[in-house]
Amino acid sequence: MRRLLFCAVAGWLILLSGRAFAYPQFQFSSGTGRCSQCHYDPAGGGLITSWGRDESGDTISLGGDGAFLHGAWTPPSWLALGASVRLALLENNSGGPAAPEVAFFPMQADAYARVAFTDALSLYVQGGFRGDTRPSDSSIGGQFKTLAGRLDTNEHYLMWKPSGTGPYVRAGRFFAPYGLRFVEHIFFVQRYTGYNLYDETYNLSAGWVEDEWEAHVTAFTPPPNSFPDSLQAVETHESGLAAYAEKRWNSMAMLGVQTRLGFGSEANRFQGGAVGKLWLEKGRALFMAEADLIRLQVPAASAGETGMVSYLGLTIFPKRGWMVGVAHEFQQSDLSVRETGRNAIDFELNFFPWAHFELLAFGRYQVTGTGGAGDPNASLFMFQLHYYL
Amino acid sequence: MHNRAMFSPRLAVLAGLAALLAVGCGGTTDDRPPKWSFISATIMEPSCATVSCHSAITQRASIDLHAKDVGYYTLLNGFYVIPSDVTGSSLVYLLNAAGSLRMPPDNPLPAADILLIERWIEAGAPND
Repeated sequence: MRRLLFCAVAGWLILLSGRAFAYPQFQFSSGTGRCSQCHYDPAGGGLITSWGRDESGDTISLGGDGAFLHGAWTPPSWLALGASVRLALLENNSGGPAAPEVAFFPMQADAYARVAFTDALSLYVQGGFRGDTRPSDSSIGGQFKTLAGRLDTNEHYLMWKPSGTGPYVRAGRFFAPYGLRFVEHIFFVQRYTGYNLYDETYNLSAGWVEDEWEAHVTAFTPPPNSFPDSLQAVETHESGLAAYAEKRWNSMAMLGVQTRLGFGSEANRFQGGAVGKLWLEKGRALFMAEADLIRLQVPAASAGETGMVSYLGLTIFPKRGWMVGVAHEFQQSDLSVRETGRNAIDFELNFFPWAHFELLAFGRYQVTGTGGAGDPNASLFMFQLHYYL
Repeated sequence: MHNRAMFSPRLAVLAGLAALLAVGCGGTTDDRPPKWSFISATIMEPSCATVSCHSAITQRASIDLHAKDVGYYTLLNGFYVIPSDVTGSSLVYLLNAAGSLRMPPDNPLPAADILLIERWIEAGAPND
């Protein structure tokens, strides 16, 4: 009866509040090698474990109690709850004669629940409202009017995972483990690899996680068109297979290899690449890199293109509670046509003044094509206030 | 000292890789087919059919570009594309930010992609 009651509460929380990305910057830098140490998701992201909550107060932020409700109430061991809200203010300049676009909007409002039925079997559900960068009515009242149409649950899955390390199997909706999964979805390695915002697919996934390595294999398919909008993937039209394997060394370096093969009614996408991280304790600096080759085949056009995306970033943790990052991104949709490329430089400053709170400033300058006549340069500045329960 | 020794060559390799990528690859000849099936799958859907814009679930300004056929009829029935008339097609103005906010506002298209779309319009904008 109590479990039913808590499930009802969790369901209500979900109705109140769709993304579950991670902070890949915290691997190694927080003293933890595997993402699943701090997240219930075996590949990282989403609701954090009690270990992760302790880390958020003890090492990542300047202090505070990272526990649910700031420690005011402790859920029973079979239940984990959480919520996350992000408010964003951004200025976007797309390089045209029009004035830069300025927007203030709730970027994320999610709730999370994990119910453990046994030591091995659990149900994970996340839900919330899709953020709307450009609402037709940007007033606060206007944004509330459209809430019902933006209800979304992009992660819900049943998982068998008998221990922190070892094998697992899960089925449901989530992102197949692949590549660097940042909080910001605009990075090319997410946007152009099938991992843009609200692109989670329905999957059957299995894997094995150990302290020094992990591997995941996932069969995926987009939600059927008959499903309601709240369950739809936005851009992914392919079904297929994704695989990711990662090896870690001395709690300071990792190398991952990955592939994703997708077959759709309009196009087939075959991609593969590598991910790497190097943590230098002396400088408290983390290098992160990802590169993928992407072959997109369009049978109706009897043509295709081979492109590439990459990310190369350096994140420094100068003092507890602070994180500073700079990155270079590259994307070229067709490697045989030089003008189809994009380069971007990103700057990110994160401040964690207290457990549960984060302030983020993000800037990006993007050169489109070769930067010649007709190739616009764009910029984005964003400020975020993030609170999680 | 050990870290410094590891750091420098790796940094040099990374910087070199970044410089290589920044230049880009390939030539200046665009052999991509000016066909709607190709343009929709490789340019319009990944650039325009995003969650807050012209996806099936949002359809900003009643424009749905999430798939080949629905995107085609949206653009032609809304007169964003006038077959064989590049200068009369408002899609081209929007992509070039000519007197309007640029589309897509969050990720401008390279000029080469816009030229490919213009070549398709010049060819009569068939649903091929």
